[in-house]
Amino acid sequence: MNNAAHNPDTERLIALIGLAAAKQNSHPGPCPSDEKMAELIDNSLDHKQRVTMLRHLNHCNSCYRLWVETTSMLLEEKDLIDVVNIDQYRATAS
Amino acid sequence: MAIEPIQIQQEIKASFNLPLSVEDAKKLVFDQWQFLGRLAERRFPNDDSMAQGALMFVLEKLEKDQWKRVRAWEGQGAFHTFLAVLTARLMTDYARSVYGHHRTPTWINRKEDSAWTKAYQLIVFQNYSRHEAVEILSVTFRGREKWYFEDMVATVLAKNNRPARPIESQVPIDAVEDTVIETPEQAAKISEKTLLEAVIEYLSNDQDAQTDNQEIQRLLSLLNIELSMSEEDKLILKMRYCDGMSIAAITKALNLKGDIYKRINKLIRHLTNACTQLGVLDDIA
Repeated sequence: MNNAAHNPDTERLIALIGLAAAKQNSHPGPCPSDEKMAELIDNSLDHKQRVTMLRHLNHCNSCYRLWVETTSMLLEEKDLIDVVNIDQYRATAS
Repeated sequence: MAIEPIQIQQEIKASFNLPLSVEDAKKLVFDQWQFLGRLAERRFPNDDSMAQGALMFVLEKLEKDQWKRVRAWEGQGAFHTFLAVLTARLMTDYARSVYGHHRTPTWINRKEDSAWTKAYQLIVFQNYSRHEAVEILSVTFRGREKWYFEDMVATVLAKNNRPARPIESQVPIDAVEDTVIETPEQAAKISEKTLLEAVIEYLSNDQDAQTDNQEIQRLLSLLNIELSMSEEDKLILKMRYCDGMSIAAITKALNLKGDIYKRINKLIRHLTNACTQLGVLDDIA
């Protein structure tokens, strides 16, 4: 079991044990507003606010899931816009 | 992850008085209508009916009480992102209201990750094979590792098609001689599978309740004292090992800089050392 780095299953088990241990006695605070969630996604929170938000996401599965879902959708949207921009650039350049 | 150029955000703020009026809230939403349509298509890919239904549901909820939800925007973050958060929340409500009619089992409904519901639908309602379901999930929920969906589909299959009780058969004497008899020490050890199931159950629970297994609880309490991880470190591990998200997706979502592979490896080494020092790994059979 000690050679964890070479075994993906053991690596995952160790990571999950670590997360479960770290979850003990943590205090997530109240769920953030949708606007605060948006500020986290836009990376516009100050350091202290960001840490508070991340602590909450580590503990509250509903907020974590909302954050992951929104972020994933926006990243795909951004990828789409980037592709369109590149195509427009190529069209203009040619 | 600045999705919207700052200038556009400033223009929105400058063009509208805050708090937003009913008319302004309505105009802002309809200005972003195409964007909302794309979000619905992404949330329910290959299912136009669900995507359209979700979009109508979102509109109905947004305009309720004279656009109260939209008028709650205080101009702190980008409106575009704020609207995306609102929409994601409402689309989850919509999915739950629809899937509820299909009577998905409670253990699936309790999962926050919508990929579980999709996996269940593919396997149980649409009779896709294991391989097909994994492929569809990988395309639908991009940014996740394939092993995550393989585990997910295997779990759905196992829970839905429980194997029949094995028929007792005569066992050859040779086989009995090879049977290993557990010593009391071995019997006291926790199997890796038991530990994995216990920590996943514990992590998926929002409550502060402790695990039912006292030995595992003891190990976790011991380890908690030794660990020092930042909230960002914990979230990276959660995204990677609970949700199977790719390094690229994690990096973008958290706006991380530097080599994230190295950072994760360092975290795993730190955890492995802490576990080893406390003898946590020795207690696993």
